[in-house]
Amino acid sequence: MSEWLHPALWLGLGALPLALLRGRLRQLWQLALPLLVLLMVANLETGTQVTVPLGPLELMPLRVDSLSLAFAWIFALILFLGNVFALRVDDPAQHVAAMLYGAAGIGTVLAGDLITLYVFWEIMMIASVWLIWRSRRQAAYHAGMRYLIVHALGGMLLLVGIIAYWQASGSITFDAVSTGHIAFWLILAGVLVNAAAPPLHAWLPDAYPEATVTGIVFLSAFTTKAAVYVLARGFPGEEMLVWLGVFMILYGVTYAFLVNDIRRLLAYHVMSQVGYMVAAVGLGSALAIAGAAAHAATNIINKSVLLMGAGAVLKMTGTSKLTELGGLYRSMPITFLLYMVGGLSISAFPLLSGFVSKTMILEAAAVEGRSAIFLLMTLAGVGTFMSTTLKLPYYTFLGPDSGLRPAEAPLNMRMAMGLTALVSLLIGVMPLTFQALMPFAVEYNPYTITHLLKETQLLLFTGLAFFLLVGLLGGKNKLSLDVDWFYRVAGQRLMIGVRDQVRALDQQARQRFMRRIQRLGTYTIELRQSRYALRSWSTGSMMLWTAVVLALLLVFGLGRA
Amino acid sequence: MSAVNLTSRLLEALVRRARLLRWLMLALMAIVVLIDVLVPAAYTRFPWDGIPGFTAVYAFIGALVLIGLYKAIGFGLVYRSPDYYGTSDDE
Repeated sequence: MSEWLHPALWLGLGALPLALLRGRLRQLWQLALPLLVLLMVANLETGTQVTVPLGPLELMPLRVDSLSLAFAWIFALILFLGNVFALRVDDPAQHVAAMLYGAAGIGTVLAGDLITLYVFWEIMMIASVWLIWRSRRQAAYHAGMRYLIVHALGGMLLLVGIIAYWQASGSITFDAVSTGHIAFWLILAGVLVNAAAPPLHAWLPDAYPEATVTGIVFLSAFTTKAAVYVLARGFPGEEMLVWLGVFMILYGVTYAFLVNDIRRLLAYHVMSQVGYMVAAVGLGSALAIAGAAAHAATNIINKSVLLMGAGAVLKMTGTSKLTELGGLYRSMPITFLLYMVGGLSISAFPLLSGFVSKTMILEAAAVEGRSAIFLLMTLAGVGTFMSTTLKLPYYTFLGPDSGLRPAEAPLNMRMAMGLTALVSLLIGVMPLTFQALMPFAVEYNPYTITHLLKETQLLLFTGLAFFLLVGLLGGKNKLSLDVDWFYRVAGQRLMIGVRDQVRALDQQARQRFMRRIQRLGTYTIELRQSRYALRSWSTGSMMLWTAVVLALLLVFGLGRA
Repeated sequence: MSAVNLTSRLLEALVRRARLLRWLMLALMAIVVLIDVLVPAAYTRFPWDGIPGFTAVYAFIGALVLIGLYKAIGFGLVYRSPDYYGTSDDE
């Protein structure tokens, strides 16, 4: 029975009518479909495995365990909340793309074998790019193209890795990938592209801010978190990931502080938060992996609130640049307050979801006595709070007044933000219920006096430093170079250089050839004009040449039987 | 729209009392450090776990160092004109 209830399958099929439905009917289906999928996910039983033979291979399109389930339900939930936010968007292509993207995301985390995983992985890429392209600007088109190219390369690495893995082990079942084989590195590299780990991360802050106001919510939820799932399943306890993750966190918060576009700021911050999950996967203990899954879930929720808030600002004011915003709390007070819930939550403010998951990861590092990791993660928490929860809202909603007086965001957008913020609050006040949905059933109490004191001290004193220097910290109307420079500028220069070299070489060769032909032409004309070839031949030389020809015939044996 | 207006008025009132809020925040800072001094640390996994107010000092200095670092990286390395990659606002 359950094999017919694969949520990704029904979600994928259910997406198609959205291309045709209009008006209220479309809106109704847009909300009903994710709810149905949520119901299907809720009905999945741990331990279910559905296999389908394909030639010599045994595919497993559905494998349900606590790890895959944790990701599946949060994906389904955000698909619903994101669709509430996108309810008034009159663009069938976007709605179909978002649903297919969500289906592929759920399919990825429920896949029990590497082939199914790969197929859903690629569908994610193809569906998601439409959420970028549908903002219908030239810059979005180009950014979408770069996004496709980078992900196509990442997908290729993954596919080659999967083939190598199959060759080596004879199995395509997706479990922890054993170290030391080339397949390990290929699959890891392919997955790290989607996790936006430096230096393979530049596609994310390049493309996400170009997406549509509603599309960016889905984008931030699925691709990177599905990659976290694959890391958690395939590469737990890989020491390299701990340091890569910490580097990612700090790299992300640094750029988040530098950029001027609020959606780009949040995109860098997606990368930074995924760093916590990558580092937790690297730590590898049950608490750490559960922390990674929990942080993926809370981050999807919190980041959605933030991106919805930033999207509402962009929609209502027409700009997302810090340097052009300010003082919006007067006209968009509800958006402001709901944004702050997301911001405080992501900065691990007690009673909100981020506190539950982030302290889990810090606790995992502390239990293992990783002092440097612990201190660097705490420092990154300072950076997080400063960029997303102080700088962005201060210079958007408070701060120097820009004079902009837009209307408050439409009701459905406020509803979406409100519901998502409510989920964050519920997770924050009911951590045990939340943890029951997470893998490995770890027992962890976030609300100890030590955690509470440390987090409140961190937030308050970071705030103190920020407000002491607040005059210096406004957005700068600058572009911040990142490693995409290497393919947008250096790569382009290299291509142009190589092209010019090849062109020059080609022209030289043609000219030389043409000169030879011309010289041959003049020589033939000269020869004819001189009549040298038509001169009369002496009898002696005629005899000599006849003898030579006869001798050659003898030597090469012509006339022999 | 009344909910919007009400929230807006509430926020305006809070902004007018910014000075009071500032003092409240400072008092809260003092309180959380004071509690940290009075309540003994629950565990000492790291050498700094026993130091009262460590996180406060670490966060404050950390924030200042990060701001300095961000400025250095921004102005010294990565800032370019907004249309470095061609016009950015080609609507």
